[in-house]
Amino acid sequence: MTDGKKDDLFPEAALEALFDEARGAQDLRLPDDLTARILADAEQAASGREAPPRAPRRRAGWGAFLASIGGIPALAGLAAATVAGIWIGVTPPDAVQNGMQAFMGTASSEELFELYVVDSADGYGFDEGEG
Amino acid sequence: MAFDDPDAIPDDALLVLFANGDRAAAAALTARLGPRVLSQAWRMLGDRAEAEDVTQDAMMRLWKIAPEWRQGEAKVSTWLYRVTANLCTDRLRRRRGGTQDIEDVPEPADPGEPADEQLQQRARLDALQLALDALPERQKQAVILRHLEGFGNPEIAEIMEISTEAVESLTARGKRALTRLLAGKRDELGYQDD
Repeated sequence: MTDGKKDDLFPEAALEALFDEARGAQDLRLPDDLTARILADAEQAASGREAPPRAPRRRAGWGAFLASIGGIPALAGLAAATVAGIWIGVTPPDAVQNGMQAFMGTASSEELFELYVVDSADGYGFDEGEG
Repeated sequence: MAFDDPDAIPDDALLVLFANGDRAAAAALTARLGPRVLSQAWRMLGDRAEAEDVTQDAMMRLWKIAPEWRQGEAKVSTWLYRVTANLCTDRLRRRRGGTQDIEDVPEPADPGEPADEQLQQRARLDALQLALDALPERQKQAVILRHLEGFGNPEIAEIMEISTEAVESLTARGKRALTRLLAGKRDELGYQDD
């Protein structure tokens, strides 16, 4: 012992003897009711894990459509393809235009345009000369 | 799954068995680890009913973590004693301020009177518990694990999540403090001068 006067301290040997006595007096059994409570908890925890998995929620409407095409990433791809298609249709690159001319036998994009556009107002147009 | 000798199965294997639905594994783990958890909690809290609550709570946490337990990564017992220590610390912090003074320890039976050894022993153990309760929390925990529960310093270091050097320091300071707290009670507690 290094601190304090000897008489002010409980002897270390006596302290060790007290520790020994405390270890020896230890009751190493669990009370039956506590054991029962612990095992009931174990049962509850195990039963909770074994509960049948909940059925997946059914999707409807927009969710079903989105799921059918593969989710948000697929939707983004679809939108990009749509925009690209419209853009190519309005301002076709030369390669596309030349290919179509060769295939359809038309000379210009105006002719190609007329192939597809039906003038439903033919004969009903406004003519500046008419009164 | 049935097994013939649960004592031969390591703790972590029993825990995996329990996670796989083996109820007998829970009983084996309770019998093996429960008493020491209760003892640790009882010494930390000095209250039997609270110690039982902590034991039940600690074991419940073991059941819940079972499905995620990875064999070989940690010792189940060390993990459980750490959980127990933390639960006790939480309770001690909640009740802080209500500790009994060592001077309030009831005087043990007069050794001059016909000795009732059981009463004398009870008085000694009560005095030790009250002295332990007067220690700073970490010192108390280290002294209990080392000198009353019999753990080695490396395992205490794991339980308390500190270095072994820190454990040695805590236990040494704790013991010095106990010798001061119990000073003057040697004769009263039945320890005669050498």
